[in-house]
Amino acid sequence: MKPFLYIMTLVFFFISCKEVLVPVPEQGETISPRVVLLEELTGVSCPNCPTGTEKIKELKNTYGDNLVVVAIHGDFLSWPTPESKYDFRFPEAKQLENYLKPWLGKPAASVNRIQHVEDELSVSNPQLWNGYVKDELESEHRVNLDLDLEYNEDTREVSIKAIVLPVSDFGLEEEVRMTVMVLESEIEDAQEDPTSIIEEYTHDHVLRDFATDWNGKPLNVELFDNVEKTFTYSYTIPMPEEGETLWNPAHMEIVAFLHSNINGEKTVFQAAEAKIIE
Amino acid sequence: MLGKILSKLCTAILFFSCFFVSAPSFTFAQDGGSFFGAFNSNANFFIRDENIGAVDIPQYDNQKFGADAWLNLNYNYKKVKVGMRYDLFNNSNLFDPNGSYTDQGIGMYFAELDLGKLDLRVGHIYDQIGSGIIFRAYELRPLLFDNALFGARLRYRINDNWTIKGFTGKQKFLFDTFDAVIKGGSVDGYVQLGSEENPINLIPGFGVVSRTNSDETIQKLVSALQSYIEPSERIEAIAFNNYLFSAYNTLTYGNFSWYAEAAYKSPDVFLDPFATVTTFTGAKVPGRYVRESGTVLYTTFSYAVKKIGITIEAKRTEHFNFRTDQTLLLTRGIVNFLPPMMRQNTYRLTSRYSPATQDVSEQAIQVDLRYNLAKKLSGLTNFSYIETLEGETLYREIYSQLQYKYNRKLKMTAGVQLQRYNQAIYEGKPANVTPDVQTITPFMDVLYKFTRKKSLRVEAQYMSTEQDYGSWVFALAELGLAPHWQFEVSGMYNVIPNTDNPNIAAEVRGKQIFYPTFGGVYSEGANRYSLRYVKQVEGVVCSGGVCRLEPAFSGVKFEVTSTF
Repeated sequence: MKPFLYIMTLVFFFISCKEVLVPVPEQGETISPRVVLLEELTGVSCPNCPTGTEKIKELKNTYGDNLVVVAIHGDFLSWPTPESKYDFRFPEAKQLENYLKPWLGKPAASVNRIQHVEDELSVSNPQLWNGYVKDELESEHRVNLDLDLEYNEDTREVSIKAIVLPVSDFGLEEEVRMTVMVLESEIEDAQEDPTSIIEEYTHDHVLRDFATDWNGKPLNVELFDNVEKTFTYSYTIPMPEEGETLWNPAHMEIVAFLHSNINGEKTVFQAAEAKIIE
Repeated sequence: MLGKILSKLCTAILFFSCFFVSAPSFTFAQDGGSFFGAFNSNANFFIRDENIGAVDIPQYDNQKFGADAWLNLNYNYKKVKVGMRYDLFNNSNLFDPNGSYTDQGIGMYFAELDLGKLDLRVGHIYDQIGSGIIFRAYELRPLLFDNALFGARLRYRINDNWTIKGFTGKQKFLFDTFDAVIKGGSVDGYVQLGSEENPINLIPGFGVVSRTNSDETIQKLVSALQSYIEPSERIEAIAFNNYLFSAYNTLTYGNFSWYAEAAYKSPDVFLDPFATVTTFTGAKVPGRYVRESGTVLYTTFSYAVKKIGITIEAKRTEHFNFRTDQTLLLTRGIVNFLPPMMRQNTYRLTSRYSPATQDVSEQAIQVDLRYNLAKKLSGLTNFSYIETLEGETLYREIYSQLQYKYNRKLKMTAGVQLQRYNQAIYEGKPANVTPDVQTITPFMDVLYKFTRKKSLRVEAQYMSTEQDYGSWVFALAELGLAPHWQFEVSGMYNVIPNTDNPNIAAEVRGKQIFYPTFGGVYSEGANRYSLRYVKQVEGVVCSGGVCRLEPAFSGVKFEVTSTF
């Protein structure tokens, strides 16, 4: 009898009373001047990565122009499948993938390069990305960024004007940098998924190159509240190799973002994107 | 406050230990208490090798060196026990095999007081309830897994046969803790029935564990669940608390022993990797948070007589994922331990494919038979089978070996292992292009003692398989020069490689590669030093029932272990 009493005491001690449940509201609309950068670490030999990509499509549908997406095929599980026509890897993409560590595995995504989880700069649970994007949209807005592109069809050169309009001051000590990326979408090529290799998978927002250093170009100027500054960059789109459909300006876009690079902080302040041919 | 006091106490112990370590040996005064501990250190020198895929992690690219070290110090004085562990990680690949981790500090400390019928412990607690199905706090160094509970535990001896304990705290994570509060307790007893000549012994127990989520975790879960648009997938509300219960008993009668445990988890939100979620485009993709209750039924039955011993083990698991924070993945935040249901193999090739315990859907049986066929000949046969609750085969193994002791000088072991391993499920590879790995692995092991001090052990294994990397051969020779030295040379060779596996990087796929290992061990008293050159193929590494995929290794390993 006594042991039974002890057990019941233990049970009642733990189930003391009924708790109030936390309701899960429907996803509401978020209005924000911020444009958040989501860097997706992916790979064509990564079976779980299409799950992450679907999640990102959903986030893009929810947040629209407030979200800029970059798909980084850096190194891990990014090697071509036997059915692949292309190899999306290049050395700077690999450097960026390593820069965005730690992460537990792919798919992973870094949201504005903020360490939301102690041991992950890039979060490997796609279910959490929605919350981190929302958090960032609700965070302090410090600067506006717009892109103005001009494309010369003959030389394949893209002139990039990045127009920066701060809404707070940035001192030199913040070491603000601009990174300009070159992306390509609508690339039909193979991709592993949890069941097989999909031969005609549409790869969007693929990071193809940089118009600056992969780690950004320092602005080297102070930025003051409400004082507009323009920074110019240029990029020449390579000619595709014979038989390839890559490097198609009609499917390419430029992504630029302002970020810090101080004491290990990699925070992105604001991102912007523009198609090379509208 | 208590933490600060303990921290200072531990620092003091570390300081005093410096004097002890420099002494040739420790002395234990009868009333001065006892001081003891252990030291373990690994140093890895990384040598880049593109041929085996040992590239593209910081250690191969630029760091070149990584080290891990643990120093345990304990002091017992009358009714007081205190202890601490200093942990050091420098460019370590232990925490993340694809990354680099650097930190150091006091990784564990505790104080324990014996107050008669009551004993209490504060600080880091390693403990379990039953077989660990609802709660187990333990350390697995090969995976840098340490889920000690940082808090307090009270244990009260009701009488000679019955004990009740309760604990509360937060789960340790590296040098920090997770935010959720874990609390639990158990009642454990001993009952003797039957006559004194033929007693029936019962060791019953009952346990409860509860987790209270942090606000941050609840926020993350709400944000994740908000994006579920399909009404049947929506979860309308979530709870801060969940509860787990377990009843268990060991019955022994003569040569029989029977352990049985039944555990229940109250409805809880967790990530089910096999459940699909509908996106706004209508696509269904795997990985969805579900709210389900969970159960585990686990039993072990063993019987032994003079020439034969049999152990039968069975387990059924349904929705029993229990983490301190449901947003964590892989080995992070695991609170409980689900016993693995396969043989713990030790040979290089027979242990190459080890199935990780599945917490969402698994049922398994294992039979282990040991027998003496003659005075010098003994045998062992093991069968294990694991499937999902829906009937999909996950793992099957038949392992049999015979051991012949010819005389004091010569001992021979030979056997064969047959395996089927669902690589798509265990390693997350695409199911349609990843067939189950089916292997046949004969092996032999011969130990010859030339003299009392000099011995030679030779191992040979061949794994025949058409899947994954293809067939392998492995050979090892180990020369023992007691009491100090041991030398080892071994090699693993991809004798018939698989050229069609899309899961292997093109740079490595289909290559015939030799993976050599050689080195030596020097032992002196309680100190052991080993230095080895190692080339190791990528594979699943399991330790204490927890598994993870480890990349290839190329380099030199130096290890020191010492107890005092």
